[in-house]
Amino acid sequence: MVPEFRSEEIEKVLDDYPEMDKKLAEKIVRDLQDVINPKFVTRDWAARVPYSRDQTGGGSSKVDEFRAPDIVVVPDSVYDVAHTCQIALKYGVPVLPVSTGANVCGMAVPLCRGIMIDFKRMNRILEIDEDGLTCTVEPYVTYSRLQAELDPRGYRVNVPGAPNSAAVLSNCFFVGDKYFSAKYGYGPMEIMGAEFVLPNGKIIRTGALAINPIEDVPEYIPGKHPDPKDGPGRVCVQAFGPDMTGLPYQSVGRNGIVTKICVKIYPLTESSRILMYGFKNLKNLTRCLSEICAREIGYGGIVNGPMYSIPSLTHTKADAEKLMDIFEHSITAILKITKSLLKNPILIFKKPFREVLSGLMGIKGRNFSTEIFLFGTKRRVELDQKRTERIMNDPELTDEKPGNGTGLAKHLFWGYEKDAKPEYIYKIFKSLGLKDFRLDWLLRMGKMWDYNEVPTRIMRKASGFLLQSPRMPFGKMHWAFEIFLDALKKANYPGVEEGNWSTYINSGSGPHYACLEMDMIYDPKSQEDKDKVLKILVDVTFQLMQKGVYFPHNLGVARDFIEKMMLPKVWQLTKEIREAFQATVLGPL
Amino acid sequence: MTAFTIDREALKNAALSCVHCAMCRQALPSLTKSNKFADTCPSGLYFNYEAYYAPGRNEIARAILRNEYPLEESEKLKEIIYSCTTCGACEVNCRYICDTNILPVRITEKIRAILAKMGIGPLPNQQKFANYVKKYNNPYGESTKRNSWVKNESILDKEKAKYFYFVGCTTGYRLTPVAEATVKILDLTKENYTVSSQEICCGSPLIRTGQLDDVERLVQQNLEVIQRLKCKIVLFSCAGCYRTVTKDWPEILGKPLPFKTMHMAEYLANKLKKFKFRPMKMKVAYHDPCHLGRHMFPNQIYNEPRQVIDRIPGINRVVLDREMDATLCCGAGGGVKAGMPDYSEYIATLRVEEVRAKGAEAVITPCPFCIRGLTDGAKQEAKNTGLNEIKVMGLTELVIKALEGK
Repeated sequence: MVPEFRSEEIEKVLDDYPEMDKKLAEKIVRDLQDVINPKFVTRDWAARVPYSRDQTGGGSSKVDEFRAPDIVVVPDSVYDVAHTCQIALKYGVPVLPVSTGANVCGMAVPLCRGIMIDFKRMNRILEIDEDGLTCTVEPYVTYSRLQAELDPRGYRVNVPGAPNSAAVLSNCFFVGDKYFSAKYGYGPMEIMGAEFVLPNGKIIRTGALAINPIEDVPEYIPGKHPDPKDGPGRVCVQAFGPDMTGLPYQSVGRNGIVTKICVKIYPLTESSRILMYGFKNLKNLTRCLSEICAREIGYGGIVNGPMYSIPSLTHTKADAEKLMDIFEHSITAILKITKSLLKNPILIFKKPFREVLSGLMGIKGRNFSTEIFLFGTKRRVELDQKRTERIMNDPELTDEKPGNGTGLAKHLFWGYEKDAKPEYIYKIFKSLGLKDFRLDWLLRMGKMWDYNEVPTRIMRKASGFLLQSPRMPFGKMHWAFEIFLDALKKANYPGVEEGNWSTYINSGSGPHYACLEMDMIYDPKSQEDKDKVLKILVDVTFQLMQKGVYFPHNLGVARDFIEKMMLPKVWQLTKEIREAFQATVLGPL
Repeated sequence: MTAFTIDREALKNAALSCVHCAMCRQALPSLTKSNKFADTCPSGLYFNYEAYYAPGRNEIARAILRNEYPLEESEKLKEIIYSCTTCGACEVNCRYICDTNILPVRITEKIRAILAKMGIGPLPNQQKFANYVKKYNNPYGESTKRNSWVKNESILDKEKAKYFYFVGCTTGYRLTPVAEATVKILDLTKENYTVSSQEICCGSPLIRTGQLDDVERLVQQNLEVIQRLKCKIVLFSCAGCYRTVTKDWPEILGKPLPFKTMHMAEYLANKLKKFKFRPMKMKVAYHDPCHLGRHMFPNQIYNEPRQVIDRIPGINRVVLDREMDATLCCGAGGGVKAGMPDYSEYIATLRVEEVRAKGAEAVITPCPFCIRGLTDGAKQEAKNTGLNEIKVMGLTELVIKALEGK
């Protein structure tokens, strides 16, 4: 039985949280201001409204509903957060933290209203520990800022599937999928330690931050970022006994509000290469990938499908159609490219031009593409490339000969090879008549694996929804893909024809699991539209969960409801933990 | 008046199109040279609430347009809407992600216009300069004759000159050395040009602060002056005037301009071969005015002023951490210098500190408004550090110094 996504229970919960009584709100504000700088506590509606929506809308199943918090606090320290939690507990009001606000599915939208903790002032990179290979940051530090600090030192963080504007802390705690997840694990596996505030105001420090906690935090000065300190060689992850670090995982602040995180950093490698292959049949592709993973080749990879969805999601329909025409029809492609060559014949003598062209021809007519990331010493990268090529052409694994698009990948992801020339892709695409294709987009693409913006771009085209599984067995990838497509067709989702849906499968070395992401573009103008999309989401989530594939991303209210149905034991345990910590109401259910 | 008719439904849809990707708050990674200078939104970094960043303002726009809350109940609303320097840093990042109908600066300007119509905005000092424009045709309340700094009267109101030098109010009344340097350069290149005594405010301060009542009159009156003198090219030394005339006037008029527009930075770059610069020993930084860069998308003027500076022998131009599309606003734009002077000065000080960190002794910019903002910032920075004040100089002033060997 698939649950109703707009159940009476959910509606009732939302109805239970109207705007806070003015006098009570004023009283709470005064209490908060006893400790927190009064400038940073407010109940002014103009300061509250900005928290009422995220990437996927208002978080509610009602199309026009935008719930603002009752009070906003901008803390400067863990003690400000602890005080806020104590006051919230005293008055029994909900608390919800937000870091960068680059959220989906209403995770940081205050459906139950209450106090919003905005971490904008807690934006410090506190420590970089080159000895223990960790760094410690506050909640408002984004991947781009951290990477800007690490890059000159020769390090990087594990790259998220989220855009670079995502916060390191919340991405890790909300089980953020990483491009190298198959090699290094997903978000929580990056965490070496944390400092968080329980709902009762108690400060907890775990793992690497339990010993030598960072209490001496530099003063916050707008627009200035102090240099991080050198770390004391943090290596501790777990002591004996249960590890409390897991308590705030995925709870979106309900089980505890995290104020510092210590995460792993990695040295930049000597050499890198991204290989690209195109397949007609997804089963062939997944079999080859499973073999690559089993042999621990490379650091990870991505499967994109269906092929036409990639240009559709990131470019205008007209441009996408032109591209697909080229990808699907040899004669058209040859004619168009010959025409462009006639205009500028010297191009054929340029090596990058020939490489891009051979890459385009390699993936032409294929339904699915895959990129495989190779990193390491030059020797290792070359060896891994040869091993990959052998697997991709192994008749025991695949009954089709895959197209090789590596020449295109080299110049598309230009940030990874020194002699890459992305302008040649631009020249070719422009000469093929693409109108909306910009060189600056391409230049951004080159750093995609460091600073991914593709999901943002997808969302931006016409708003969208995203389902993501942090882990699933390889064997279920093909099956999950079909469930998603079936649900879309069943609901008469118009985007099927237009290619406004896609799946990305992160996979790679390490045989344990792959990560699946499903995207669909929608822009609900009416309640009917929104109901249709929610039905697809609930249907897919429910079916996959029944088969053991867990999707944490879904619309806030519906997600809690489905989890409660599917994971009653986990919910009972969570309830007991919350009660033990005297937790106030921190979520819709 | 096609441009200033506010379509509330379209505006609401634009505001709702923002997906809070948060890319607009910091320089794009490809443009970020270091974590220290990653911030680009002046109001966000200063005021810290989400409301002061573009996504926050978009949601407030939505709430205003949907009448979600009584406007008079908010004490912060005015500060939030009018603290945007309209520098366009958010818009640049928005465009990198996808071509968009959001354009946060545009939304903010339209919301300012709505608030001004309702009597809620603008800030008191901004209202003052609108009154001055109405009365004196300039935002400074100057009653003296326009462009009285011109010594050679033969250039005044000359017909059929190739170039019409549109001086602008800030240059003409507050920074006459920039205007004098511009005229000197035009004399040196033996250009056929004119300066008008009839020129009035271009409308920029009013458009940026949402006070649109008088704008059409200003545009029409200026247009008549330019057309009467039958000039082919209008030349600007002010980035704000250049942006307003090039981008806003065609929208207001509903048709293309009957003349070409050119900024002095472009003019100088075109004429570089004609100049014989004398060596100058100086380490300088170049500050990109928002109105010459981000606001002029897709025709940003970034390379031309740099070419001019780099051509001067002995000049060592340092590259700042935030440049071109990622530049930090001087803090003076969008009526902020008049409306919130302390905040404006803080941002300018941050920018000057960035110049100091690179070891430059002067900062060059082709915008009189940036010169004013950065000068205040330089004074404050010198006071804070106890070091010598960083010099702030117009591009034309630098060129004249290099030509005269001073």
